[in-house]
Amino acid sequence: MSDLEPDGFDLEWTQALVKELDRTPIAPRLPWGRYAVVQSRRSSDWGMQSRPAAAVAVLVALVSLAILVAGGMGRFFLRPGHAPAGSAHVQQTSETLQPATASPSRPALAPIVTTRVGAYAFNWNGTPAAPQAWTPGAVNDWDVIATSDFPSEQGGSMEGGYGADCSPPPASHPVRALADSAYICHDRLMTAINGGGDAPKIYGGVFFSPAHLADFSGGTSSISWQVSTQRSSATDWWDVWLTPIDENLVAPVGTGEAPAFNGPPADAIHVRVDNGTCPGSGQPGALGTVNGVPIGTIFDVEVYTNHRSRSIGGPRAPPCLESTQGRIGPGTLSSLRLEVSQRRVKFSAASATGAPVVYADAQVDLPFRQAVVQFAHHSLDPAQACTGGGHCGPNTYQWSNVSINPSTPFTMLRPNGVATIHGQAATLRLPQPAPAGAHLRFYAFGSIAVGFDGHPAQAAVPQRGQQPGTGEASYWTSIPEGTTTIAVSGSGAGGLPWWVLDVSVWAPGP
Amino acid sequence: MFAVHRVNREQWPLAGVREDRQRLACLVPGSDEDFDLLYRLTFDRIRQTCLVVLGGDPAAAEDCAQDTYVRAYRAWPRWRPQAPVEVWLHRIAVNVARSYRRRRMWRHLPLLTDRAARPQPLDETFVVMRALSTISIADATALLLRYYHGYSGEEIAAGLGVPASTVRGRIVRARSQLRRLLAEERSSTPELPGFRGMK
Repeated sequence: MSDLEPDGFDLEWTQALVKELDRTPIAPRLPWGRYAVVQSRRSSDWGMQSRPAAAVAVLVALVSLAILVAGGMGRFFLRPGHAPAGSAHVQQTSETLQPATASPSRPALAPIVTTRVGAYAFNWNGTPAAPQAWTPGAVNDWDVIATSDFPSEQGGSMEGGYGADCSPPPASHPVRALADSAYICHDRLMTAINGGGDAPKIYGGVFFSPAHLADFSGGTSSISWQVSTQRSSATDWWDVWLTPIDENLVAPVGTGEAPAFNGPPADAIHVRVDNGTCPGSGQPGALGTVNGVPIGTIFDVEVYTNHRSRSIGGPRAPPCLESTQGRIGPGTLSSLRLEVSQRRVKFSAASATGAPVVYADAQVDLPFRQAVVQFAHHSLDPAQACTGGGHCGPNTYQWSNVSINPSTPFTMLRPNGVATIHGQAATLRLPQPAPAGAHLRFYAFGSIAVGFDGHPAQAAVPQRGQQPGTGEASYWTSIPEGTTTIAVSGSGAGGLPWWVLDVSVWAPGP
Repeated sequence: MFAVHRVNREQWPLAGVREDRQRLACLVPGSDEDFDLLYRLTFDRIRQTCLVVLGGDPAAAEDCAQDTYVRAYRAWPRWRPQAPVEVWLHRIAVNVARSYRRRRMWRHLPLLTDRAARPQPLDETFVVMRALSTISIADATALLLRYYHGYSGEEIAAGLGVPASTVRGRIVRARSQLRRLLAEERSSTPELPGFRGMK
């Protein structure tokens, strides 16, 4: 291979490449959540001086894998000795644990309940004098979680839509705490989260689900909602998931969308905002242009079956949402509708200029007949995504008028109103005893154990497909009927505390 | 075990890595300590490979690099020194990066076919990275490993698990494409800094 000896050309292009690489910024935040589990050894000799975030990330990744290898894939041991001060519970519980296995891979083929099928309609009514953090009721209301995919209660700083007195945009107010990321003004829910700037990582998400399943066991169920049309970044988007209740993930994200959160569920329907080029329309100024053509909003619809996704969207040159709405603004709502039956999925958007625009209408073969309806707002370092003169940054989405028809209610208990637990064992009290067939659902980081009504703790069970040893995971643990208290404990990872958030108990039937 | 290939040019961009390679040539598969060393000595270069393959997206490159070491660690006890260990890492990195691309790992404008639309730091001054990102991944990988990372054709072939003739073909093809792309770039924007272009 003597003819492959470098010459002047090779020297010059490689030198130029070195300069270009030197000018490319290293990702400033720590993308480590997926891999995290603690190991205490060698924490000081990993080249931390030059690349602390990456070093920690790889360190915990290696330990995570070592633990998996040692324990056998799918097993998840709570290990003593790494808990922060004040967490003696870890030692207490470690010897009584049984290895947890992931939830069974059985698809939810049958409806879990066949009673009380009816229409569900909801709006976030309220006209507070200041943005009011949305706290759903403790019994059969909504589940909501805002997370930065990191053991932190902060997202990135941003200006959330609506002023401090709830005066409408362009008025705004500062938002950083995740607890403030979902709030109500003027009879609408606002979601404002920033997965960039001073956020601990480059991801942020707000996920919310009503205690009503879309029920298409007897035909077609129609899910409709309104959401604001204006966007501010190509990497700040919303989506909607329909997932069997026993496969639901607390923080789902589509395959390939972001290396964060829980990934996609095993089986689901997924509607998501996507980005297209929109001649003559597009988002005015915000998302920029491609070759002079404005970027705007199109939609993709996917069906997940046993972890495999299939896009059922229409042609790749659909009309952009902006071209059909008549007006684009922070308070201008689009009306969306998803119609689902066992054999067909159709998604459309109402148009101000004519008939609804159909973005997907396809034959499917769904392995489930009822589904949790889960809305989400995603933010992936939104300020980075500007192209062609855009002015990108985190967005505030406005939500209104959710309807599911027909729907079947299910039990959703949110203990004590406690949203997050971190680093300190806690005992939660349910607002009412858990019914038969209930499961404890939460999102967590670290090794987590749960005990019911004073009984010995057991390792929490990860939801199907979740790998808790590699970062935040969604859990789905069977809980005995009649349970009123839940003890939660854990051990941290990578020098960070264990972390449990969005605890709730879900069960079939109202 | 393969001998460490050295690029005998003082001005070569990565000439300073030869000492690293000597140390890497002595690693013991399965050793945690040696994997630590492997990580420390190679992370930046693996990330650079990810960065080039992923079109200059630094966040994706960071994730790609870390995924690479996660996968590599999983296979580390089974690694056999039939090729330089760093080439093996680059192979994993390229596979990770390829899967990112296939899975549309970037959320940025995933349905836009115009790659220039992707949000990226590759402004017009990043001529080499942009050119490399338009070459096929396999070809660009071979080119990078040969001239940027300085491995021999035989080492690359062993590391990538393909015949040496295949590697040679990829390098020749990629080099030709790169030469043409950079010449075109130079002719269209002669004032660009950072790269003076090739005849």
